[in-house]
Amino acid sequence: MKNTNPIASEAIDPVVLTAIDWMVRLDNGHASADVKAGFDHWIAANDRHRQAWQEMTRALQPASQLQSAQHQSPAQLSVIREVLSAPPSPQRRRLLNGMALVFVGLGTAYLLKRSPTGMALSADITTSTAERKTVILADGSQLTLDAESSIDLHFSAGKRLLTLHSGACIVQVATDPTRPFTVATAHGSVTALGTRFMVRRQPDRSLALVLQHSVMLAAGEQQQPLSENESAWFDSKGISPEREDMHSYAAWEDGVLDVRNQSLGEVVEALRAYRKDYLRVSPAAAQLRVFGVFQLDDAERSLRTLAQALPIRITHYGPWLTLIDSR
Amino acid sequence: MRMSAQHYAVVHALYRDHHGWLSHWLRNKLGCTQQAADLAQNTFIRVLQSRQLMQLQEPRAFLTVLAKRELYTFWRRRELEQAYLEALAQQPQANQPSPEDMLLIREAIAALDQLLNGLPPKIRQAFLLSRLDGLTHVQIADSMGKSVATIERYMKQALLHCYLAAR
Repeated sequence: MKNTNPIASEAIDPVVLTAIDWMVRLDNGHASADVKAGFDHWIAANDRHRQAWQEMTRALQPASQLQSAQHQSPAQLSVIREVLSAPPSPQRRRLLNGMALVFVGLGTAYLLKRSPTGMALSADITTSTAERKTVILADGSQLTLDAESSIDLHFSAGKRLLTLHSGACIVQVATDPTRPFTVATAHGSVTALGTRFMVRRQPDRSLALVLQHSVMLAAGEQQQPLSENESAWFDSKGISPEREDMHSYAAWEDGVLDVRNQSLGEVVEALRAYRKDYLRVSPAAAQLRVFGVFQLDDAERSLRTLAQALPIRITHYGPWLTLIDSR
Repeated sequence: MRMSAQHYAVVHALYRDHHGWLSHWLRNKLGCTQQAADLAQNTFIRVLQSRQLMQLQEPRAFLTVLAKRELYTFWRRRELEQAYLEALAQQPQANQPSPEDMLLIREAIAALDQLLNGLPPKIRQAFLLSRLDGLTHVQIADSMGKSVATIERYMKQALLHCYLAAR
């Protein structure tokens, strides 16, 4: 194997993609007799079809094993689900941050981009992929949500509490001296002191950026006021003030991704909330530095612009997968 | 696995020159000589399987990266085992699996977790609801507040991810 382009070996066999299509069609819970007949026909048509199907089935073996274990003792299901639903702890994940080398070294070239968002299950207000939304709340405050965001509202006589589960929001707070206005994430809380500010929740930490006046930031044991134009990262351990101008992090409000010397990996992460397909970026390409302003609402054009400016190649596999690798 | 004499010679040289260093590096991370020796062994199994040894220029950097993957797998497995035993402890006695079943389940949990490693949480959830709970796509769409088309897209992405991870 040559080292020049390990990515070329990663090209996905179209027969496997077809096998996946069939699996999803058969799996949906009420596949019609026609679909089943179509599948029988497909798999009998060619040895390679049968082989790809077996490869898929083999890949999924651990899941089948767990399903049959659960038939023997049904109460196991809830236990297994609980265990598997918990993501790896952050310090374990961090160990994998330098992993690009392994994948390149072994000739398996793509790192999977993880979604920055959490679950959007019970949230009061959510936005879907490529959707931004502005709402006026009961107290007259204005709330703007970025794509793939979800937020819960708890308004009572004594408080106005917004819980941001995923994505980002910008709030323009209506004055009400009797009821403090707070945006909380799993990492801490930001309380308005008459103001406009942004909160973005990332998997391992959150960002607060004050656009007007000031806020009180609380995380872990720490508490700290932030004034206009100031920003800070926070998590359950505490607060780390950010010295850089972070206004570009609020540019999504205008439908713009404003990038100043970030890695392509980070840019792709930001674009994911605006694309329905699965973006995979090769480790080599993820490290390229990017400068520029991109239109979020035309993420396809943004990708093309990136491809013109950077030594990358973009390949679409149907409507649900896009690969980015270095040329 | 096919292995040429040349490949074997490279692995052998790597082992001779760096095995002691790698065991020491792992012992510092783990604080346990026995586990460090096991993981060093696993790391060299990975080295044997790797296909690009001929171009190796920084052997210790290469070994460290492979060893980190072993460390991650080791710690993650321990984390899963603990979570499994804790969840099991919450269950009444009648629901406890036999020791043989328990072993199989623990193995399969670790294997599935490794397969799903790196998948975005929403896609992981949709996959588990489908493949473990056996829900239909319509039921999953309802429970996650998504459209059926989105769930089917998630499923395709999850299946491709598993396929690539299992290779």
